[in-house]
Amino acid sequence: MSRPTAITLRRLLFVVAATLLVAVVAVSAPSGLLHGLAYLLPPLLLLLALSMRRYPGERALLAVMEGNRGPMLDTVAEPVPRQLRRCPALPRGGRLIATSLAVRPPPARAAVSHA
Amino acid sequence: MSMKHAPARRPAVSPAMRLTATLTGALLAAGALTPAAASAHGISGRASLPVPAWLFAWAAAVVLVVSFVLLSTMWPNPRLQDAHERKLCFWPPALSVPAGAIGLALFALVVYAGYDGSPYYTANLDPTFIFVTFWVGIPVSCILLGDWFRAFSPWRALARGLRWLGGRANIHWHPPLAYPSWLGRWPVVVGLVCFGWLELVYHDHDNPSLLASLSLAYFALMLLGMALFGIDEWSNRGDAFGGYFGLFARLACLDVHDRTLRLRRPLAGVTSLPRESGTVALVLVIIGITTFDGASNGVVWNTLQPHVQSLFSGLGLGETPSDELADSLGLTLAIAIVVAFYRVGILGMRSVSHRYGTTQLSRSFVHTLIPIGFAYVLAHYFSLLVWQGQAIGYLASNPLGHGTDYFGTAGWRVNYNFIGSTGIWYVQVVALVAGHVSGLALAHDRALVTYPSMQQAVRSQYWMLVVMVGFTSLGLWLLSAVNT
Repeated sequence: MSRPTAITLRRLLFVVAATLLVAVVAVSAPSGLLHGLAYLLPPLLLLLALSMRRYPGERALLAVMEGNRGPMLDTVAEPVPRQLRRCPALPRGGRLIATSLAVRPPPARAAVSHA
Repeated sequence: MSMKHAPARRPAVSPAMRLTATLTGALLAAGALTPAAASAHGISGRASLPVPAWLFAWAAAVVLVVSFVLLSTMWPNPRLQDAHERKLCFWPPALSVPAGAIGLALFALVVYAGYDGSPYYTANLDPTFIFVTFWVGIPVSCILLGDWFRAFSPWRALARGLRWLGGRANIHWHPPLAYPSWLGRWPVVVGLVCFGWLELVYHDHDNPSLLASLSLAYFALMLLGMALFGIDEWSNRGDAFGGYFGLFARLACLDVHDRTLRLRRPLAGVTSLPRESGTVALVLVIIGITTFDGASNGVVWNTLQPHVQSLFSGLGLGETPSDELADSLGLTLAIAIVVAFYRVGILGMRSVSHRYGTTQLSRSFVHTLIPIGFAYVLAHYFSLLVWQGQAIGYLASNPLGHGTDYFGTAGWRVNYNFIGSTGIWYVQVVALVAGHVSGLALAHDRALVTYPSMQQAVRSQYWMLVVMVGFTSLGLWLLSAVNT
């Protein structure tokens, strides 16, 4: 999946506003609120990272997940549909010549069924 | 589901963005370091903790992050989307008759005690029974025993009894109205907000005669609702307490339906929560009410509240109305903060994939907040339950406060040494962490069936991780503030 690479002006403004809000709170808040920041710091930091479209450790996590799922899902051979397994029969005789010479050959399925 | 994905390319980050992020981080870190001195008169003042209380929030965040990683790597397929029930035994429907009779008798006792008992809330059965046994004890017991209140519900029992009597007399009542789908669970939401307001805001909330009157009014309202829309229809969607207890009972491993007692996989009961109107609001309101209960005893609200109150008293209101208005505003604000928390998580998930709208995501993942709601209730009310809950021992013998001693327990007293502040703090931390890890597991399981690619599922869960860590940290902050 592609992830957005451009930092939009809107997002920049959002982060600046959030920073200002934190600054205002830090300067003017009562000690209790400041105390609360110590508790809320982990989710705020995580939120900050995610709002900047960073997913810390995502690649490592997906690599491990892929490794774990591999033996379970990827190596199990899915049953091939019956129609795909059947070897397509080649046209024969005059149809082979007609097919080779034709500018636009007949549909493959029709060719096989009439062979 | 394809696991082949290109490694995500990091977005270009401008110097301005880096500067902003650094500045924000520095400010946050400053905020974290500042209260080092304040923590000395925080929870550690009452509970003897080896580290500052805020470090518990950090440790809880680490536990949640580790849980997130383990869930992502070791839980590759959905496991909770089906109930996975096992029949245990036949459950005789006739048991609902004595259960309903007990419920009705207790209700009658509460009303009688309220009108005829002592007006002092410590001597009368009503305040302790309603605010501790009923409001806190039943939800906690529902986690263990399932939705047992349904059988004991006095208004449901009376309605069923009347229906049975009517049937015997060949009078068959048919509900005249069909329950409107748009109404969903909104009556439960309104009922819970009203009860939360009564408990946390209204000044005269422990007046026994008032509680008895309100109980009767609620009883009459429930009978009216059941008469209009049908007993089961209204019990499931309109009964505030039945809906509240039933929501938590979904977390239980035991369940009774189709006359059979069944055992189901832990947490599997909440995944079948109906996605009807008002369900999201119900779960968020439960957390919001508990949040305000914690915040109203904390430093922040106690600092702000007098200013808000003076604002209202400046308009000419008396001291009590302005105090109640200020607390009403605080209750609304607490619910709004909880809604905003969840909204941030949902908007973040929406940014991962535009496959689903915010309403769809909000309803699809709201069941993950049920264990959090229960964790909040247990953590915030645990001390009330283990300390004030003991009062039921002597109030059972002397429910009116007139000096009776029916069971020989009237001389009992509350033993505050039963569990200390430190023990309560550890129970609260464990409850909060366990509730949020459960929520994370439920969210991960739902993401596996919601998103087509593993990368989208994982990214969506980063946002749910923020929600869970946020609620954990908020809960621990509030709890530590209560003990200040």
